[in-house]
Amino acid sequence: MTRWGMVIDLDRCTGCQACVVACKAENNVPFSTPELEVRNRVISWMSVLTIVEGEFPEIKERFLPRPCMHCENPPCVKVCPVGATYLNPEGIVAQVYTRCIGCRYCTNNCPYTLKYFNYFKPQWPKEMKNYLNPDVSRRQVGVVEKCTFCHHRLQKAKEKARVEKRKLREEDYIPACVQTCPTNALTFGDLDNPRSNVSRLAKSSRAFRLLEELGTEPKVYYLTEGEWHG
Amino acid sequence: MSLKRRDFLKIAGGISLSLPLYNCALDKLSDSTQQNSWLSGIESWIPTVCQACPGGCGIFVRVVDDRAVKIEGNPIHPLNRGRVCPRGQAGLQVLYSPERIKSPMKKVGRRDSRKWEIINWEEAINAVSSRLLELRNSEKSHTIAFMGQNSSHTTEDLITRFLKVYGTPNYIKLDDWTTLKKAYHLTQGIHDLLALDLENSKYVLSFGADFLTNWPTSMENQRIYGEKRSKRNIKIVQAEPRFSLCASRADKWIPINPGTEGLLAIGIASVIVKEKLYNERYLDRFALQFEDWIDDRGIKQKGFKSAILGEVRLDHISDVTGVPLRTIIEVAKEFSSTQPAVAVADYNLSFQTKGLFSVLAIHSLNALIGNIDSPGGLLRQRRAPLGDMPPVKLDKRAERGMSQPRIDGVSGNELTSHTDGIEKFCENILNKDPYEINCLFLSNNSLNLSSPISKKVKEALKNIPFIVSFSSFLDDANSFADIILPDSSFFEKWQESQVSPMSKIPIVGICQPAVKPLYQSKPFDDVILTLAKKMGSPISQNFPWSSFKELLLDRLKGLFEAKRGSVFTSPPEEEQLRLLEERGWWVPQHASSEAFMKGLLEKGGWQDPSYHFNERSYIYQTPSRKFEFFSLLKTQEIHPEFSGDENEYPFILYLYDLPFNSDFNGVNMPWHQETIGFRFNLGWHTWVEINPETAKKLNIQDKELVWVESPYGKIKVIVKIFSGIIPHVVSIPLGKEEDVPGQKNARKIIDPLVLIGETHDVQTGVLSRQSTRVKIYKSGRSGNK
Repeated sequence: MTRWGMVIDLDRCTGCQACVVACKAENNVPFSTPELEVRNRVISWMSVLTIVEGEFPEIKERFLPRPCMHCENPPCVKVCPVGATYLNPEGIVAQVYTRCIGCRYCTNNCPYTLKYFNYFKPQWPKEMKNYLNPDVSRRQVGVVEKCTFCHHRLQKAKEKARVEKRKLREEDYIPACVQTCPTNALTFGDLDNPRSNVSRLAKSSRAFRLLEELGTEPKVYYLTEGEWHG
Repeated sequence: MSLKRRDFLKIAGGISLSLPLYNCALDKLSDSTQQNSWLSGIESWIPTVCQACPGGCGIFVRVVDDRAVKIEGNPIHPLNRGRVCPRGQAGLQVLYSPERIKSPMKKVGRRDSRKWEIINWEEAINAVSSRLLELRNSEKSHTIAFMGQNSSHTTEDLITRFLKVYGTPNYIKLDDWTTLKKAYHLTQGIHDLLALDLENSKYVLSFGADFLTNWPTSMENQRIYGEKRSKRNIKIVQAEPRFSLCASRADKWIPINPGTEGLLAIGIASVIVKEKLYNERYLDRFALQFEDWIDDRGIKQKGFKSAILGEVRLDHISDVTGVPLRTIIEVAKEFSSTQPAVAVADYNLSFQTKGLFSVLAIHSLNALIGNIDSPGGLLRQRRAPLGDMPPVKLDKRAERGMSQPRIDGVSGNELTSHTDGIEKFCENILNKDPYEINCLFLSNNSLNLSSPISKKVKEALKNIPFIVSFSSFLDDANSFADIILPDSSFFEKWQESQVSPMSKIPIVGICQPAVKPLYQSKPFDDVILTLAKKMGSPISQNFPWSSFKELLLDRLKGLFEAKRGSVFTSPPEEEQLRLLEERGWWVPQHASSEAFMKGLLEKGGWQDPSYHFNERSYIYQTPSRKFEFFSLLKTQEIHPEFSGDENEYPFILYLYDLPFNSDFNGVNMPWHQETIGFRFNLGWHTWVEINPETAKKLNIQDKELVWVESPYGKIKVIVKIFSGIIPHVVSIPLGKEEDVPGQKNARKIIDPLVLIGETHDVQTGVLSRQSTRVKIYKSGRSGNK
């Protein structure tokens, strides 16, 4: 069985924001505005957290890119009253926008705070609607959205494989953030395939997951930077 | 079989998630404005080159039904290998920006008004060409000037050709990197930048160089950084006043007082000299004036070695730079013992009062350990062999025009040299010295008016009777334009894009249109051709091409004829080619020029992975064919200067460029604008960084709104308390604008450049951004509201 997962090597990450912008471009996330920023309503499926340690001049900064953790045991799914968010058979925590009733239970129950509620109608200037990705639906006001591991790319890859009468190869499917990462800090693939890069890295002694003690079993692994142990 | 409600919903969910693939059926339910009809969904990927910055990374543009919808990297482009930076990812926001100028425009009413009327292209071209002809016929061809930033080689050659044939020496080229070029010219005699061989380097000593984010080769550097960091075989030491993104990725950050980078380099050099850690073999063979020497008049002069041993006091340097003695000695020992090591500087150092000195001192470190033209050091790229254009035929008028001195005071009237600073240009225009300027062409994004000399620039622009702008966005500079001929974006035109000389191998990327030009915009190069044709003989004779594409493809054939390199290919094949070429072999991949051109356009470009070491006359072009310490020895009085009284204005202002934003043109990319402040959790608003100690003294809280005031101006910004800045320095990012596309009223620009005074580098005349003192006081408001 396939279980999609991601490994993020914190040693390599330079906090450049390429993944953040690539995600917005791929998934039709509108740009924010100063007003949204002040009200803390900015939607960004992928975001880089900055952790500052130490005092001048012994200061250290660490960057932590955070997509949805796609937990094996997702707390958001448990509280969704309408099945708008669910764990699909390939391990992706999926979101059905038209099912969502906007109760925000899932945003509150996500320990990683990686689910975003559309408080306002997403807006684009008329001309900018041209660059919207036709593979991804736009969200309405009042629904919750989050990182889908660019699930639409998996759908396309599967279709392509079917047309070409072959099995889906692991490299056929790669999320936008992983594809663009300038330092190759992000790796994506099948965690259940023992020969895949991602499963090999996930077993490394440097690997850890965020808030592991909660038992959510995220499928996003991090590799520690230097001596840091998350 | 029973079906539970939850299972049913799951199935329904699965269906609805896969539906978007079938052309947004769901979208139509939720929002009918996205598309008026069902999409045919024909998808194509166009190989082209990103020109959001001068880097020139290879990209594919995903085009669905004539709409460009996504940018991905070209995996076989040797610079970025399939990766794209945040700025590149936001590129489509420029293409589809609502603020683009949609058609040619003519100024109506007063010159300083912002009122234009829409005209058609024919009218616009007629207006410009008749004005040009009029000037030329009255022997005033030299009184036109063209102002532009670095652009692609073929475009620059086209402009040069046009100006030459027309008869003016005034090609005003602005470039932030001139100080570095000058330093390499003074020491090695080359008019060029050198490439950092990060791949083979073990130790990088960076003096405030943002090589991971703000260089044209940043994407290459990022990739290599990732690989080397993973293997842990590189050490990066970053000396700069502020803990930049690069410093945060370095192994060690050395906080240093602004403007003293050169002094620190001299300090490190003195340790290397005193302890005899230098590379004697290199200095013997490749350096001049290291040991004492005898000048032309037969007088004995002190060499670099005795000058350092005699004059440098390390404790004094430690005091001025603020770097502990121990650190200087440690770094010097590490730098000279870890091989290969390299000391790098970048354009940031140009903006101080002793910029050229700093760069010279830093470059001398490379000579001391002998890593110029050696693996892991600084290399010089062999240029791509683009075909030549046919020679120009000048008439008498053009020759007379070309023999005039340049308006910006740059000696020699070669059109290829860069301008030192825009200031001299403006002064000369205002004083009509040596002549007046009757017509000015402004290329796209050529002029940033938000600088302290903007007053002078504005005055100068007002004094020019006819200004033609090629900008695709309205800004302060082209508000003076009489005619605007909007340029197309790089998604809409043919272009060639060579990587910067800071990459060790030459790469030529081919930029081809992904979509048809939007609105009434036209590619700049085609407009120049049209203009030349319109002006008739003898100018038009020199432009036989029907379109810029034809000219470009003509020149690209030179790559095939040169029998070097190959079209982009997979990394293993590239390595094979490198090995062969470095041993003097070359295998042709394409039988004919047509097949080559086809491959070139399909794969996205051409590259030559080989590098030949020890071509002495290419690396050292000084008369002695050696590295010369002379210019460094001449430098006197090396302490930085600051304007503003220290008692009234206690802090030194340090203005810096945000990552991937070195030329302030990220304004039309809201995604880029909203994310570059991520380290401070600020998106749109600009801020001032203050050390916690300073904030405590001033009783200022994080996120409070304060005034930052200098003798020249003041701005109100949000405070970010940041441990990554020296206590007596405050830093403000440049190029941050709260300008939301589509919301004209929301435009709010806080321009930190109003704070700086007219202080310049004493040697190059480049305006200094790091030499003004400021004070900070509360505005009585919180930044949250």
